[in-house]
Amino acid sequence: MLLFPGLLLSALVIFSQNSRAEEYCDWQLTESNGMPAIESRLCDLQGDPENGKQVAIDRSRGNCLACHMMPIPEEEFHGQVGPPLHCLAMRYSEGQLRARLVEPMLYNANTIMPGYYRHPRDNHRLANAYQGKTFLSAQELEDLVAFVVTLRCE
Amino acid sequence: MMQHDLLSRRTIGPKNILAIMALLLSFSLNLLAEPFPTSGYDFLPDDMKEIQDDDFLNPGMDTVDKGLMHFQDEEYESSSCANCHGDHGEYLNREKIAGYPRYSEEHERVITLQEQINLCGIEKLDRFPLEYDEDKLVALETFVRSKANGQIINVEVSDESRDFFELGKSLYNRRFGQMGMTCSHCHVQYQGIMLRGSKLTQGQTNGFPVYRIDSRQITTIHQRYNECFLQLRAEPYQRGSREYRALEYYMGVLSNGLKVETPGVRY
Ligand code: HEC
Ligand code: HEC
Repeated sequence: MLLFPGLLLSALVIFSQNSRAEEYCDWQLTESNGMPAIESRLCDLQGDPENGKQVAIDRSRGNCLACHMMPIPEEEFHGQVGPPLHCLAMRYSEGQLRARLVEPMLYNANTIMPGYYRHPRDNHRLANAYQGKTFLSAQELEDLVAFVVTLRCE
Repeated sequence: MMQHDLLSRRTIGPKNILAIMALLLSFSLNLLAEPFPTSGYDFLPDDMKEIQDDDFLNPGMDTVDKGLMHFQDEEYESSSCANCHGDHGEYLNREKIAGYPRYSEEHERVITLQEQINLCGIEKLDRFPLEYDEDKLVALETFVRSKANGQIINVEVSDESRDFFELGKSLYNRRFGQMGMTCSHCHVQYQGIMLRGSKLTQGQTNGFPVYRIDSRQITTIHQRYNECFLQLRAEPYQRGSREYRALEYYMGVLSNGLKVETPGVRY
């Protein structure tokens, strides 16, 4: 009985990903302690940290582990392209982390890190399958923010 | 209101801290970087190196053999590549082969080795032109290039070819696709570093066409470009396109000083 709604839900997710791009949620850039920040949640969505963790692991979604070591010991092969993210939330506020995930070029113009909520029109030669789409949905991005703000080392 | 418009974006924040961070980062990366140029071969584990080095183990040698067969294919008036270049290509100029893509005075443009083989065939043989990257042409390319194995790569840039070189260079340094990364991000800046399960190499072209253990196939350089574009979620160019040929030319210059190792063996 529990399985059925799950299947239905995943079917819906696939439907919404493949058939149309979501409308882009605009955001406003501010400063916090002299660093770029986006204080409001995208489209006012509430993030879910558990789901955010899955987004970080999932190779076809965040795939943060491609480049970063994270406190997720159950996963193999953490990359070393970027710095370890263990104590992130002690160094950055939520708004700063949101800005960093939405558009890392705000922090470093030459960064290799993808913009997880970059506007599709700002991509060059986007593959046809990804036309009009952001890397992550606004919901996935908020889930991710909800997860990374839990990365403290107390 | 400041928005997600990257072009009009101002740099915000204590610039000095960011600059110091960037400096430290680039400093530490420079310490890690391999000397330029380094072959993909040097990043391989020993057992893979052995497979490449042993003609009897290297599965790419099948393609070399096929290439030799096509090289000797006789047609109308019993002409073949071998007629001019020797039964086993012994009259081919190894040094010249290691210089492709090269500027052709006659055609007034840079031509790749595949194009050269095709041009030769169009002039002198019936079964040409072959389509870019089609099996027969790839086999011929693999055979011909393997003749220059061990030869030092020497791709030249002249006044006439400068624009084409610059096109390749600008493509190499352009952000592509939804990932928004450049070739140089992975293959210059972060070479030698682990990207999840795989170690990034300089993406050198000296082993191409290479035999890939993963796909069990010979892979041309333009096919490999397609794969990197796919990873970037970018729309690839056509194999044989001006853009890919320019990339091949630019990357040929990047691998100057390395040895030809066709057919290389890679993951
Ligand atoms: C392709 C590589 C790559 C991927 C994928 C990637 N990052 Fe990064 N990230 C970097 C690099 C490199 C830096 C270092 C600063 C810079 O260049 O922007 C960085 C910096 C960061 C920082 C700042 C860390 C600090 O200590 O200053 C955060 C936060 C971050 N990344 C989070 C993430 C999250 C979360 C994901 C996945 C959703 C992710 N990154 C995916 C490469 C990547
Ligand atoms: C996200 C990282 C990434 C980016 C960006 C990238 N590549 Fe790669 N590339 C790889 C990986 C991983 C491999 C396989 C391991 C290796 O050889 O580095 C590879 C392999 C290659 C190889 C084969 C090298 C060999 O010895 O077999 C070539 C050639 C290459 N890439 C060219 C390019 C070009 C051209 C671009 C830009 C259009 C590009 N790459 C962008 C990750 C990347």
